[in-house]
Amino acid sequence: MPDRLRAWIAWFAGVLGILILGSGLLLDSVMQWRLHLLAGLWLLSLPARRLIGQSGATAHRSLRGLMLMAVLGFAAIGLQLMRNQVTQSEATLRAVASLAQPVAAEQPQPVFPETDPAERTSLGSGRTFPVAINAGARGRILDRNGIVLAETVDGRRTYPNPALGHLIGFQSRLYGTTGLEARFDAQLSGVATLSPTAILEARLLGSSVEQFPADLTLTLDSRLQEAAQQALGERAGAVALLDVPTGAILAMVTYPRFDPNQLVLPEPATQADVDRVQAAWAELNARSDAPLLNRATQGRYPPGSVIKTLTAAAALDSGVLADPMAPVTCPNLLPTEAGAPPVRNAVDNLFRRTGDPSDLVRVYAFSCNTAFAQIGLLLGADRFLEYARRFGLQTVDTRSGPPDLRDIPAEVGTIANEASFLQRPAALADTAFGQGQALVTPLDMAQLAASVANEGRLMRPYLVAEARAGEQVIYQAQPEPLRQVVSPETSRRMLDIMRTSVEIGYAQPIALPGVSIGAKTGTAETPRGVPHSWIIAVAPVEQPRYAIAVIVEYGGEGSRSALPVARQVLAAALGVTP
Amino acid sequence: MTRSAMGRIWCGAALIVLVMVLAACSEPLVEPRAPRTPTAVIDRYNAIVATAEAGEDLLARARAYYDRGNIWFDQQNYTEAIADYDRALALDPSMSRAFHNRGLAHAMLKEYDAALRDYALAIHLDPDYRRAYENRVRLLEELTARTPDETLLQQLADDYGNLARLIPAAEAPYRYRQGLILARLGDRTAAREAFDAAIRARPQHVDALYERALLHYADGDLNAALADLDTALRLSPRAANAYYVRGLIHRAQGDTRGAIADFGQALILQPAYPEALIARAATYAEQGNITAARADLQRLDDLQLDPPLQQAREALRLRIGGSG
Repeated sequence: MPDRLRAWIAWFAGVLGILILGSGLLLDSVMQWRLHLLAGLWLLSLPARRLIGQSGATAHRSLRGLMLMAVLGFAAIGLQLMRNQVTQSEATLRAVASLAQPVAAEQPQPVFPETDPAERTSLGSGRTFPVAINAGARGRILDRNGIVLAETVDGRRTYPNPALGHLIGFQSRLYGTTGLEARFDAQLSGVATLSPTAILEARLLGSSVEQFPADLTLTLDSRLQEAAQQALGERAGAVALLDVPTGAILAMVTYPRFDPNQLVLPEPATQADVDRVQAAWAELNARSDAPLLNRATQGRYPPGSVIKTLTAAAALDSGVLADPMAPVTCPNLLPTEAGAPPVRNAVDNLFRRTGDPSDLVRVYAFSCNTAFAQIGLLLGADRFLEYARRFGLQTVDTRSGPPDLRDIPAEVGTIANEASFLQRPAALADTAFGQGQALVTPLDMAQLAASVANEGRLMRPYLVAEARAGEQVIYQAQPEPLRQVVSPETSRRMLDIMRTSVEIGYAQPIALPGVSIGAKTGTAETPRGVPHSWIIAVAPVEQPRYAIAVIVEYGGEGSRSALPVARQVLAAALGVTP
Repeated sequence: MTRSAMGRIWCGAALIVLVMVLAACSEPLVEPRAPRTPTAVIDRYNAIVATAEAGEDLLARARAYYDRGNIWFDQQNYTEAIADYDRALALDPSMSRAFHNRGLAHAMLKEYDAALRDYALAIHLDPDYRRAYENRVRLLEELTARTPDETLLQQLADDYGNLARLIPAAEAPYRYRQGLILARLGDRTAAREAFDAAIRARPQHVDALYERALLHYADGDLNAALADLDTALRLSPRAANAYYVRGLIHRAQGDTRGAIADFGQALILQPAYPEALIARAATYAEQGNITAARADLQRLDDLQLDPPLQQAREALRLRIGGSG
């Protein structure tokens, strides 16, 4: 290329570079400006490099090149600063102008940022009103006759009958809420009467929320409860009295027990009050006799001979025994399997009382272990387990679902730890007359008696009859049949058998004048040596209304400790003078 | 490596440095806000005050104090500013701006009672003093957010009304704010009038339409509430809370199908909307559709709820059953 042409190109590039830089000064976009700056400087460097030329020593050329880069660099910074003066002139002017008018100058028009309504995802101020719900009021708990069992006085929960802590529980600011107070908290506090949409409206509009604390009416009869408490006295144990047709719990006593009043703080509370409540709580938890445990629903005991009622009912209902008079023997000893100790009766030569051969009626009346061991073996493990399940007893490894009683904490009775246990003849024989691994609650045994008395129908036990907020009934318990355990015919036969047990057998002392009672005593062996004393009973046999189960821990034979308790309670229930 | 290659490397490095320097220089040279007056400026004003004090013109002296007070204020020396405003007002009690600026200085010192007193005097002297209203509104908003004092709230509502009068271009937003404050005070009639005015000033004011609908709803005028919400939803079809409120109104009218449709639309737009879930579940339960109600209840269990909504959820659970 001719040298002259190169010179023209270089100078043309220089002019172009100046124009590009000049126009870039007015650009708003920073990126575009930088591109202009770099392009312009590169174009300007072309004539400069031509001026530097290719001649001379290398060192001289490098020095000149370095100087050229420095000049161009400073030019770039200078241009950048100059551009800032142009693009930020308004801010500069504002700053300078404000020096003359510090605070007295008028404000500009207010600016309210507006969003396109179509883009809005929420309208309004978004405010919510506080929802005021009176949580102080709490309903009362009444027995079936309207006697107050719990109420709030001057902001403090009080329990006029201090012996019902295991049922009613307590509402303590320190230790929470338990028992019926917890289970029916929504009704007692009135939350159950709250309308969810009323709360939403109150939150949105500031309207009021109506809340009506409800009174609970229990199935419990204070008179019978008192009778049961007196009958049991200060012996460890429990009483459960059921209304046969409905399953309603009429009385439920446990001992040792606790006074819920000692766990409630007054309002307002002093530090001394807190200390007192904490000391009471610590003492209750430290005691080895577990006063917080409701033995009637949570105490699990070996059933002893009362389980023979289950075995007998299963044998009759399944046809293993054709009728109560079918022949059954009552030997002193019954070998079951090699290596296992034979089944023996509690007393020798029991057959002299039962007869030999005997029948189901008499072996039940005199609680013959060897007879019921044989019946159990005749039933077989599967059939025995099936009837146990129908009565509400399961094996631990197949246990499922909650206990039948839902109103307060309760345990599920079990007939064995695992189903395979009963596959062994010795285990099946033992279980059938009341030993083995079975663990039941007094309520389980009261249900057993009640279902036998109720034409074979097992009812769900319950404690709360209704919850009423003013005139509005917000909860109403309905008697709920759980299942048909045995046929009505078997039920009738079992009632006869139980009545005969009272007429001629070990349960004879329970008899009351003018009333026919059916009963079965039980003596459950314990590791301590002294057995637990059991009894289950139903009355009147002709039209059963009451079913009762009593256990006296380490009370000896069933007829000795538990029977008098049951007799006293039934007498009170039936209005009979013992 | 050849010399030309080395040269290119040097050129590249220099270019990078240049770009970095340029980037650094692209920051604004002047800060967006006005700079404070230089400290030395006060000397000039001291001189002006000295001259005025030597003269006989009391109003000129008051003006000099006022001007110097402004400089102190600008330098954040509020105590000195108040002292100069005091001097100015002692000489000329008609200086509404001195009252206002002193009020502002008191507000900066968190002397709120004194601030409110000065704003009131400034406005008393100049009932159209816009800036005094604006600053008092700012202060009242702050104070009532902390303590909902009824007197202050009423003052705030009145100030918004005055601002709406003084600035016709901003009438709609000021009337809307006035309506919110009046509704908060429980004066639903006055609040509705304020929202009416806001909507008159700007018919597409969807917030005012929504808030007016809430007032109609609270007063039991469900048809008027629905009309406002329909208009608001035509303008803002993505507003989930408007669908939710319309659902509540449909439900109150016994239109459970319409209610469920609206709650459903609110939940489409805002899936984690606990109020809409509770309302829809309650409506399903009333219809006897317990399965659908329980499904909504289950969704509620996955959400964090504040205490009133927790109570609503538990009340719902008691009605329809389901594990808690």
